[in-house]
Amino acid sequence: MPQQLIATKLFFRNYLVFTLVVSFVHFLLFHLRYEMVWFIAAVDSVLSVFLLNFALLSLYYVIRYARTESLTSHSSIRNSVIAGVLLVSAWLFSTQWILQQLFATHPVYTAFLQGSLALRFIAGLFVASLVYLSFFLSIYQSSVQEAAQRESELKVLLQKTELQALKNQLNPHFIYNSLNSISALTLYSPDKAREMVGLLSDFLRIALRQDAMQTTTLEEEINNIALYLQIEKVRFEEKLHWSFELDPRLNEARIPALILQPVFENAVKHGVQQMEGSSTVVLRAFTADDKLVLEVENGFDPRFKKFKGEGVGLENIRNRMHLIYGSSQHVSAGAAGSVFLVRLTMPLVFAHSSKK
Amino acid sequence: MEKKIRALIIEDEAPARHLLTSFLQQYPQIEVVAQCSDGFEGARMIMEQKPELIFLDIQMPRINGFEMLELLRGEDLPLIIFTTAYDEFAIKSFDYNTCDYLLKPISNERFNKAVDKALEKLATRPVQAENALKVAEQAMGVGRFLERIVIRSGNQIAVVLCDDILYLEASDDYVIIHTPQEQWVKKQTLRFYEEKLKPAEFVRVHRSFILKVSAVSRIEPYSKDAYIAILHNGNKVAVSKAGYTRLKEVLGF
Repeated sequence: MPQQLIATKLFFRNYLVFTLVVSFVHFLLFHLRYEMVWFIAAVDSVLSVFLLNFALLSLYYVIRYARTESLTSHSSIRNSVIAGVLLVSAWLFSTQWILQQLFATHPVYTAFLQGSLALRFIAGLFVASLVYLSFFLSIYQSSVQEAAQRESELKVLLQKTELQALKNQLNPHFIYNSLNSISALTLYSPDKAREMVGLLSDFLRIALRQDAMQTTTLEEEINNIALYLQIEKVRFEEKLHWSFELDPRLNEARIPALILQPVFENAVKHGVQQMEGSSTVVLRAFTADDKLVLEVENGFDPRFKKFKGEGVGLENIRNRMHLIYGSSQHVSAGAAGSVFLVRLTMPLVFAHSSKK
Repeated sequence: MEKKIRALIIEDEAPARHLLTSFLQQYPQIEVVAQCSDGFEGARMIMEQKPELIFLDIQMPRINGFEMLELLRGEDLPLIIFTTAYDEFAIKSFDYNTCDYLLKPISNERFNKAVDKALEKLATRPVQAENALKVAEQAMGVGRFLERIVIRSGNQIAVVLCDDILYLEASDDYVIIHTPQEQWVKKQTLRFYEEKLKPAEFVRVHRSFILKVSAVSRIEPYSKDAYIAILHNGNKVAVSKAGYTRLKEVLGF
């Protein structure tokens, strides 16, 4: 990821600038305040500060690869304090040793060095906590941003799936064809036209009310399917028949709203409409292994079309079922002879829960 | 008495047929000679009745409106007004000047416009049947590939599913369609099927052959630049050098 690389580069540059500033302050302090020879002050400041900041750099990786939540826990803070003290002690010991070796011939300086150890330790701790805090804040901020971005991406994905699912619940051709039928009925059977306007309105009211995550009772869903079939019956007349084989104990079971709609639309479009004679669409609802099973069966003429059991419609049903139930659902479809069967299996739920 | 214009309605839904006939009552010069409820009946009635104008639904049982027209290749075709609730895919490819279409729900106003235009065309020049056929053939390939081929032999109409085809063979103005059980003769060009059949399943392997890839058992060299494909059922099909290359591409070897 180039963006992360740029961020890393920027981080190291800032850190270097910070290190230089600290060592310059250190130099000025020793040279001007303690009137140390400029050469010795320079070596002391560069050596001390660079060594310390180099050692502290390791903290960055410790914080970066720890989980954000765990960083703020008590034990984590205690551990950081202990690690900081140990790090600063080790640094102090090694710098003191090196400087002592370098300037062994300057007794005034070595005496000063011994006398300033406590001060150096406190200054070291101060710089270490400053560095730790800034590391922590920058990493914390970026991880919060990342999480927010991931969440918004997920949200967009969910909305897309929801929208697609909704679009597929309502087939515009069904509406156009129905309106055409109504238009015709006004000419020779105004009563029937009026009745059909009522049916279509009821159907649309239910269909437009739903969102993709919504569930309904099986009974309501079946009432709505009956509404749909009554509307299609006006178009197809004696060609279209249906039968529902239901267990009344399942009436209150909850299922995704309008999930059967596209299944019945397919059954009418590819089954009933394509047949020469009349044809019956069968709906069965039962339980198997404590799961709710819905089966829709329709006849088709294998001489005119082969069904391979997979279509866009089914894919959408599958997506929507997945959105609501995760992996505890199953959608299957297949043809045997001249019968096409779609089976939806989902958790058997009775409690009212319209949203996940 | 002036000769009436003979019209045919091909539409599977009764209410939609009612609507068209009632709209047509405004035109005393047009006589509805028959109403058909599917493409089979429609094809038969066009050949029997020779109407000058038809209203043709696209989605119908058994065979659709486009397939019905393609079936009548070589016949005198009437002027066609398509009716459909679908405004995507195929209909977008229509050339407005050669064919008209009515979107359901059909308004009286729009209906009159289409019929007036049709009457004008019928009065001024002979029907250009080839145009409607071309529109239908084009529309068949829009959006998806063919799933089946509709064939007419005499008064019989047969439907061959593409899944059942082994290979297609060109023979003069005809294409011979070979299935494991039968051979069908269809008035069409091999080039048409090269475009309309699923390219992942059917490959033009020779000037005279389109082969279904999954029907091939093995391929053997025949001469320097030619091969021969041996099918699972023992049939042999000639494969040219170029065809061999195309076959290799699809099979990915």
